[in-house]
Amino acid sequence: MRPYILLQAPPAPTGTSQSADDRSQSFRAVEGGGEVQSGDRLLVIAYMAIWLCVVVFVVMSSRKQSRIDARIGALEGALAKTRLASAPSREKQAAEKGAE
Amino acid sequence: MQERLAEALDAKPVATAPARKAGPDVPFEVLAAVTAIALIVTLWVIAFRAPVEASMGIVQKIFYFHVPAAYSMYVGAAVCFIGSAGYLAQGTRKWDAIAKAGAEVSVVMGMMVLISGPLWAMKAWGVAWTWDPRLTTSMLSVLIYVAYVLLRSFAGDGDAERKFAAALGVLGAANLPIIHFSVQKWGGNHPKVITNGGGGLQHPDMKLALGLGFLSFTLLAITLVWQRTKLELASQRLAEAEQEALEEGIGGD
Repeated sequence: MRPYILLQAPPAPTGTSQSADDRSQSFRAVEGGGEVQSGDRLLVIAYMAIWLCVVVFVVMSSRKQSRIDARIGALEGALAKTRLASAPSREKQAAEKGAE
Repeated sequence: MQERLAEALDAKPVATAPARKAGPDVPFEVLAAVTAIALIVTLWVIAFRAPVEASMGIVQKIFYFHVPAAYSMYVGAAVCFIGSAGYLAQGTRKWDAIAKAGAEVSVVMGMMVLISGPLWAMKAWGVAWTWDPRLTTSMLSVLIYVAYVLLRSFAGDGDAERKFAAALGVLGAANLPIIHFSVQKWGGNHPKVITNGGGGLQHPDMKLALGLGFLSFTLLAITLVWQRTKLELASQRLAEAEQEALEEGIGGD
């Protein structure tokens, strides 16, 4: 996971000294030198991260929507009940007002 | 007092609160299904048809979702701009809901861009991040929309807060052309495959994969904006129902 390793020179062969100038002016072969960063792994991580972002966002939105819908349903039910209960008294009030 | 309460009960619902839908939202569900199919097809084309790039190898395939995600970030930001301008002009909550949804989608897409880009750069550049003009302006744009979302989440829901957020939504869009042209004007490391007219994509299947990526992410952005707008409108309806319930003397929880 440390990208700067790509820029490091291979270890100096035993018994030789290597200065910074030597490293900057000569490229030498190394046995078994493979990729430090695996492209496959980076690709899989990138796609997993992208889909994780989408899935988390969609699931959070859906759950919040369900909670809000349930709450609105409960409140509207309670409001309807209250309005039904208060309707006769309002009619009575209106009749009294008309009589005056 | 009783008369006023009776008037309140007889009053029609507030104009900004849409009527509750009895059944499922069919157009939205159709759009969501089409989006899911488009994303699956795009993934299949990227995995099995698009060839591996010669110099970068398989990691180049990040590009097929990275670039459409960046474009969708623009779409979200444009929606936020339109909603914010509409709110400042008309002051209705519907525009405010659209602006908020656009900003949220812009943040999600921006996160995808800022995660997938450095993963590609680790391989292509050897470092995850440089202060390249396009990278820097992209991050700035994401931070602007993160600020917008945080403002809406924690600063209350009064008219002043909504107007301040709308101003931020309008001004935040000013960064979009800067991101787009930064790579042309100021150079930097960021590739110019798209700004060169797509000429960097040598194989027809590469162009197909990118085209499908754009299509599926456009659909995804529209679906997410729609979903979040519905959610925001439902939140507004809930707030109004709670207010009515309090006026009726019904318990708040």
